[in-house]
Amino acid sequence: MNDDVAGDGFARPPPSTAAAAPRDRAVSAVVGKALEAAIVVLYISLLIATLYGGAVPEYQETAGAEVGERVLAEGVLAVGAAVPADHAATATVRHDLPRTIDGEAYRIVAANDSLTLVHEDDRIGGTQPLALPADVRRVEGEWTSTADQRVVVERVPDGRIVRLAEGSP
Amino acid sequence: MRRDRRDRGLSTLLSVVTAITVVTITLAGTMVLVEDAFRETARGDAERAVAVQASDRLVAADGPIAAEPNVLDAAELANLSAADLRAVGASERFAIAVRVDDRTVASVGDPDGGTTVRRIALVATPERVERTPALDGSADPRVTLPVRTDAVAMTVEPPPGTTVTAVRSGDRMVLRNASGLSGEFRIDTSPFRTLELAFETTGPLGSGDVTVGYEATRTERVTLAVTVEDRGRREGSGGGSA
Repeated sequence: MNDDVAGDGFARPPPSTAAAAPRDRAVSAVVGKALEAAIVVLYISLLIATLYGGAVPEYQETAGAEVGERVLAEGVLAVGAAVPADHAATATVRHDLPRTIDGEAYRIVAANDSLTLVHEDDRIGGTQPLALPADVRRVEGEWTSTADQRVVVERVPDGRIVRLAEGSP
Repeated sequence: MRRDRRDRGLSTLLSVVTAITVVTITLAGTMVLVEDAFRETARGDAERAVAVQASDRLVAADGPIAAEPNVLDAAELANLSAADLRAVGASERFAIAVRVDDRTVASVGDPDGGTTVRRIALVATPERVERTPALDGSADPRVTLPVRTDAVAMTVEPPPGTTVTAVRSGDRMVLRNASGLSGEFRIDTSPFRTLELAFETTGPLGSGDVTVGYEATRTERVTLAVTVEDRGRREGSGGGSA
């Protein structure tokens, strides 16, 4: 690289094919390798910092919000499908929820003719309305994602109620 | 080996820089793709659930417009109101439009785009049918009704010289008058069997001497499309990755 560093002990016998090679030729390899290593290490650390500092958590959260909406929509459809058309009929239908969203357990709560997903992360969650037959008086109960989930349709004197229940029947 | 031998160490440095550049460009491209993918998937599930539920309610027998499961009453379909749509899931957040064969019947919030759920349904229209069976002018003719119904109004006007003494349906005597049947008669029939009327006459009976009228239900197969747009998604449960 620089002719002035001659005589610092790095010199080797000149290769037989090249005549009058500079005596510091080997230094360039060492400096080059060190430079390469430094650049690669710097690049990788920069990359990790960028990805895990901003992009990856954001993607995880967005994916979590999306999965949450889908889980809630599937829950709503499962509750709707569990109610038989016959007004005298009752039913118990199993439903499977993913155990975690974005690594955390969550709950689905029924209230006011709608289902609400409750998650530790505020961006994951939401409320979706239920449209059930007119004789269904109310929807109650809640599911925890880590338990077994069931939809129970029961008769009451003035119609039917739909309950989100947990555990094996 | 065009390059000067003294720069040999730098050639790998250059290739490292090239490799890093390529990796960076690839990564940036991937991130753009990921952003796009997230933006495109960031809608639809709530809409679809609402649309499926609304179409289920609309064709259910106890729903606002259905007479029987999957059979819509034409008169009630024409009167489908915004209140009915609110009862099946329309709200501030969810705009719903119901179309029958691409003709908008009712809408709340006038959705623009969104998710559409289509299903095949029947639209039943009650109608009065008057039919003049073709008779070949011979004695003792038979008439078969093309549809099943629970009551038939029959008019008999026999030509001069012919007396209709009885009308049978299978083994059952429906009308009988030895001195002659003439005028309008109401016949109760079974809606579960095809009706064949056999006339007992003393002479020929031609086309136009007998007319039958009955209530029939005309059913028409249509595509019921329910379109739902989720208006609250963007502000509400946090959409997009931007």
